[in-house]
Amino acid sequence: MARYILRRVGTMLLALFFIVSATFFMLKAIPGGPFASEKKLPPSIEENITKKYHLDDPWYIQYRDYLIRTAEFDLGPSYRYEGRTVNDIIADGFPVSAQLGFVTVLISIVTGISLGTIAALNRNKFHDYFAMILATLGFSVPSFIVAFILMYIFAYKLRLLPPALWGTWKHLVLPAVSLSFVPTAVIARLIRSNMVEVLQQDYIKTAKAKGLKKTIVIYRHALRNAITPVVIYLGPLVTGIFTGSFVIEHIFAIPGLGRHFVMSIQNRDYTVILGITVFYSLFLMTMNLAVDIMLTVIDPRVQLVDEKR
Amino acid sequence: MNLYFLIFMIGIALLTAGCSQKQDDLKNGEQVITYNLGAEPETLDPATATGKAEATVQMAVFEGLTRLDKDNKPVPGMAKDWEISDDGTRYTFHLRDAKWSNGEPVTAYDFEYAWKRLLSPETGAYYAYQLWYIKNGKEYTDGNVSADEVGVRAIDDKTLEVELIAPTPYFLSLTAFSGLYPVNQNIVQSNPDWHTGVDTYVGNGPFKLAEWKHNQKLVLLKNPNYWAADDVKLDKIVMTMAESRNTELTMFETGQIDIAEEVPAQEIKRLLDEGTASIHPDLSSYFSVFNTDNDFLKDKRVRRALAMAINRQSLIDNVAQGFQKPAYAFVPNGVPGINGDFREEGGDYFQENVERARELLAQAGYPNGDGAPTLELMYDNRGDHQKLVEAIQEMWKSNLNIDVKLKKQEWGVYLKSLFNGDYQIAMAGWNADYVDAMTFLDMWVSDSGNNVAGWRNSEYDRLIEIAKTSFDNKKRIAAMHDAEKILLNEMPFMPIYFYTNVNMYKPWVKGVVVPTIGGFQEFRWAYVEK
Repeated sequence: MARYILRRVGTMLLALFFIVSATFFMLKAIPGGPFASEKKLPPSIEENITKKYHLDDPWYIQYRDYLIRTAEFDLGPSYRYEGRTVNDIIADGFPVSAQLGFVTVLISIVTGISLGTIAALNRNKFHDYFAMILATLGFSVPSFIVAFILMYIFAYKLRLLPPALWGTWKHLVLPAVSLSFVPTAVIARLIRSNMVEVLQQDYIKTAKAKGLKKTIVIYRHALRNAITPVVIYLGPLVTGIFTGSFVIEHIFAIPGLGRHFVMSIQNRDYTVILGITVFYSLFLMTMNLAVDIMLTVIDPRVQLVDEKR
Repeated sequence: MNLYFLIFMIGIALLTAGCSQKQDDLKNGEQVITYNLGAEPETLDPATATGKAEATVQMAVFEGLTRLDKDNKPVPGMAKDWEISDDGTRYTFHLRDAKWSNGEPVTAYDFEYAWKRLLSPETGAYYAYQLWYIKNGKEYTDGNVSADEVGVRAIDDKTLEVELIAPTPYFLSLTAFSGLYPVNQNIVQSNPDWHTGVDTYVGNGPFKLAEWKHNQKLVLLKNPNYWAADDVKLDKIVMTMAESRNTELTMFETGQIDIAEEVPAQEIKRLLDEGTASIHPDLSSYFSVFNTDNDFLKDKRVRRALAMAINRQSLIDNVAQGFQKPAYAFVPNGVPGINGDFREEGGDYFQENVERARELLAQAGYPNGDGAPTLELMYDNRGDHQKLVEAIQEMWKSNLNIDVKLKKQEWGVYLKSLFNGDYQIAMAGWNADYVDAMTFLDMWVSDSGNNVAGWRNSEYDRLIEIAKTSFDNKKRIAAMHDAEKILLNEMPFMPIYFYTNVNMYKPWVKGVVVPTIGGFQEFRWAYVEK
């Protein structure tokens, strides 16, 4: 297993190198720059600015410097936000997005699994249809529409919750609920389809025949086996949600990381684009590895082995 | 989702019931305003900052030699008075006894240092050109002369002498601009990142920075060391950074903020009726620029026909909805003329007239639009152009029988196309850098980097040169009137409207000044009255 993990980490670093390189050259290819504006600057001022940020260095020097700094975990200064480094921006934004993400994932898992289980146990009955219609709705309505509806009802009409900003748990409720609609729906459907399959397996019949209580049959035997795809789904879900959603952060004015994914591109803030790409990739690959390891715990049939052997 | 969600929501409802959302700050009589700044400031360093959010914060934290009052007139700030030489090129400012927020005295040396810092090639300041009116200012930025040769000098602690290249009637109002604020030399030299931290961000203005949570909020407190602190009524300003306009409106209506800007267009009428919104003129112009290198558009008659064939008031009433002013010239209202307002003096330079437009088009060889090529109208993805360009497209089609293709480009791509002349017609805007017609007119001279129309006119260049070097203000402004007349006769662009700012204020917010430049919120004289 140790050897397997080591190998995976090795592949991760290689992938990271390719991601960084590809992003770097793509950035160089897009028109515009971090200091472009509708007012054309006099040439000498433009030169001074370019020099200040070392953007006048040849590309291979910039590329080399960037690779070296990234290897040292220094993602460089932001071009747009003077005096702030990309490390600062991630350190400021990620905890916020992660906090919101954690609550979102929690809501999604609890509601998703409950909904899926209820549906599976009542297959083709009213409960099932109702739950699955809800799941389909949750999956197909975009989060920003959910966000506006929730904001309108709970903040504008009922005045129960603040419409935006960040700070207390109250600020967390609306964005977390808005964000949880899609993952809840996905988890519910995954659980349902797997439960339906698992419930027909011989070992469930055996468990029932042994006279085990229904709850034990469901939780210990059926659910545990049906949960594998959900765990696999958690890898990308956690990465996506913990690193923030642009739309939700924009609507609720949340100081998370999500906005930087979009705004840094609009701003041509090269170092921020690269930095958060590196961060995201690293996070995604680590989560996927964590999920693979977690699977061995949940499902004894899964074993991590070095493919070469 | 059904049961759990319901329980969850009921739980929240119970928990929040009874918790009042009202601000309790005001209970103890504290004067507080919460304002949505709308963006995270990119930097608070006066030398390198460029945007609106940045200038708003700096205006509260710093003070230049002068400050603009509610009529946009420069009034004494750090300078208690000044003398101007007879030829208008030498200014001597006498500073008042004022302190930095850390208690140190503000001296003329701080000004000299700050201005040279703005000009220095090493600072790489975007707005360095705002000091190129000073002798050797440009040469210093270009790296051709040393700092000692720049025409700004502190004679002693309290006297600052400035030497200009030419008489610049708007120089005094320029000293109220954020790039020309003084900085505390000791602080800046000892810490290059001084402008990022609350403790080192030392200013000389009515407020001081107390808290800065990135992308979240900024808190300013009254600065007891400000020279006129007795006259500053506000104790605290909280600035939030919500970027979405719809969210901002909800925040305003639910009492999270007291001031909001950029009201969604469809809501403006309702809010004006309610009395919470107000319209503020802005020194900026919205127009479509024509690429005069284009075979079709190089004919002046075609350009004039296009300009006459749209209905500006209808665009404003039905699309933009911000009570903008239809433009039949380039320089907006609000800059000085010979005796009164430059725009009032100049008047309109053309009228909308579809019949006349059709005639012009026929004279150019395209009767009823026959033989005219399909035009491409380019715009960017940042502003609110979409509905407006669709309306213009429709007007040109129905009035002139000219087909227009709309071309939306991402901001960076748009700028590249614009400056490379890789477009036919482009939507563009221009805002003033200072309160004078020159800030609008000099962008159309032949060697201006901002003249993207490819239009050249030697008579126009000559008039602008006269205005720039003239020692006689009357002659200067007359030359600018003549120049604008040529511009609007030739029409390298088609004016659409002069911008406004639509802001919302809670009824208890008083005394906030909105300068016509930049549309900032100036809190120096603001207070709360409940």
